[in-house]
Amino acid sequence: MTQTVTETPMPPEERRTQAAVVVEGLVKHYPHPDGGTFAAVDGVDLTVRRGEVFGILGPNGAGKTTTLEMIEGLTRRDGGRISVLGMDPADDPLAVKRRIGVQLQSSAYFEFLRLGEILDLFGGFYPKRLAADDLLARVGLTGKRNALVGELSGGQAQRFSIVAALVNDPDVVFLDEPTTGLDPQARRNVWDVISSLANEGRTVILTTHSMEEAEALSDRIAIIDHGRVVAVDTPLALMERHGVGTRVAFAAAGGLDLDVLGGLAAVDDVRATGNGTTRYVLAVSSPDVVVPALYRWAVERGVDLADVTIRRSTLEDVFLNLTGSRLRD
Amino acid sequence: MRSILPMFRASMRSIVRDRQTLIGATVFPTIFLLAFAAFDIGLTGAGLDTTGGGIDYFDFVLPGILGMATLQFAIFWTSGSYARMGETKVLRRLEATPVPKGAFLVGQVLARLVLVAVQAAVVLGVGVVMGADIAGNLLWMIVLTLLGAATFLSLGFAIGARAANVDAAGMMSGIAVMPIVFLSGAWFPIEGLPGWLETVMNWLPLAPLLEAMRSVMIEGAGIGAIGGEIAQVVAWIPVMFGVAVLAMRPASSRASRRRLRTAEAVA
Repeated sequence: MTQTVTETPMPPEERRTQAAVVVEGLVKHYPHPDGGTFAAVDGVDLTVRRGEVFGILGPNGAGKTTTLEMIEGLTRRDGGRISVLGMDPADDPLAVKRRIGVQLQSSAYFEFLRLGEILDLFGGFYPKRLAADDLLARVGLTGKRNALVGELSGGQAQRFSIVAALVNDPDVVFLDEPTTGLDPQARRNVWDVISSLANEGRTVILTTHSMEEAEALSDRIAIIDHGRVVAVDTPLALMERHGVGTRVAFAAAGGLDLDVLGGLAAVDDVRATGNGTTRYVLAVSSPDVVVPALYRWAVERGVDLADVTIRRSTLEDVFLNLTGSRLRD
Repeated sequence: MRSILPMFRASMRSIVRDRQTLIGATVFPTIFLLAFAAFDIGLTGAGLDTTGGGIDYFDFVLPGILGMATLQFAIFWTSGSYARMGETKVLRRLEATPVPKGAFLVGQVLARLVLVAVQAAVVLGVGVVMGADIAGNLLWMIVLTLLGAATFLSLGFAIGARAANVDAAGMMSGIAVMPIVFLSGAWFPIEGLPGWLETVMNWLPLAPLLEAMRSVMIEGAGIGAIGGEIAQVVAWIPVMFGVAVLAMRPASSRASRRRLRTAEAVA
């Protein structure tokens, strides 16, 4: 299932200086429990521009976290090249770590330290640092300055772990599944924090297995499956290029003439399902043309339309199209 | 090296706030002291002579209890708490920062040395109250304890770094500590050992440490008399520190193996 990634190519030198992160041919092998090895990351290429929110979308086990941790300098790579702000984390891990902020998928902090103390401790590791009070204020945790991490709710802990990644005023922020396991409200709050990072001009790279999240936050998305990048583009372009197009559906009495429906302007295909009251699904190229025409036609013929829906392609469709499997099984 | 101070402060706080373990660290040697004192009194009351070569057994055993308490704190507690930092991914999070392993270790060891000093003062204080005769300078006893503890703490971190989890860290600490305590002359004079074993024990830091402590406590020896033992104890500090830094492999190698299994289970 290899799909060619079509993006405007940039000369390599130019890419490396303009981009926040450039990854080429990244490979990581892990020993297979049944013997031998398997490639958890199998030749990943990525270019993340400065100041963009870059989403890495894929199912569990696709290689998202391993990819991220190789870029962060936490995991040794088995092949390929990495450039973070023009530096290779393998050559100078400390220089890279000084300028990036990392939120790990599941990371605890010292259980006996208060939030303010943890931020002071982490700040002490860097030449440049932001004040703990300001950091806590921006995620609404000012009142929790003297709380222990264990006393926070899931959403608060997640906001704290994002803000702990900001102590060094980083240029690039890595967020590994920042909202997994959160309720919708807590999730919204975390989204707001992430959006504010982008507004400050920071580059944000986040992984997620939520299409909704990838679409809501990302300027561009890389879809990863089985350790490979299957597509990279803006959410809209992905849905246009790899989606299933827009569908207009309605319920009506059975036996309508499918040829007539298919003959309406901008309708590409028609399907009907069900006996008695039938659900008709039109694949359309322009819903703005189809919907008024459909109603005119229904009024002329005296057909009662019910439950009319317009559904555009989703990232789920894109994923299904590109990989042949569903994102969440 | 700017990271040492914040690390020291953070681990100092963690230790002081871990109340149960902290209380345990002082209660444990005190109970030992009481047990030995009761034993001593009991024997004397039965008309038995508890002095050997003019040395009261309680005086002989007090440095042993101090050494044992230090080992307990330095190795069992430290290896367990480091293993726990690995289990809870605190170490991984630290790895994402530019804090060097050496700075982390120095900060942690220094903070724990403060506690070792307090523990030594408590043990010696209780010992004196229960009738121990300390001929030499009490401060020297504490300094000696700290010199030994610097090595033991590094060993504790090394064990914690290699242990798969907290339970394993406890087991491994037991394997490392118990034989050394028994064979280093904490409870019985080391001279009773076979020659080769005595030589080995004299190379390890605990036997010379206890030797030096007894010289100070019983003979009132000054620094001049115990210089050789001090040199031996101090020489171990950089060696064990190096071992600990080497033992602290990246937490990621363990974590990724665990993640692999999870990925397999999902697939």
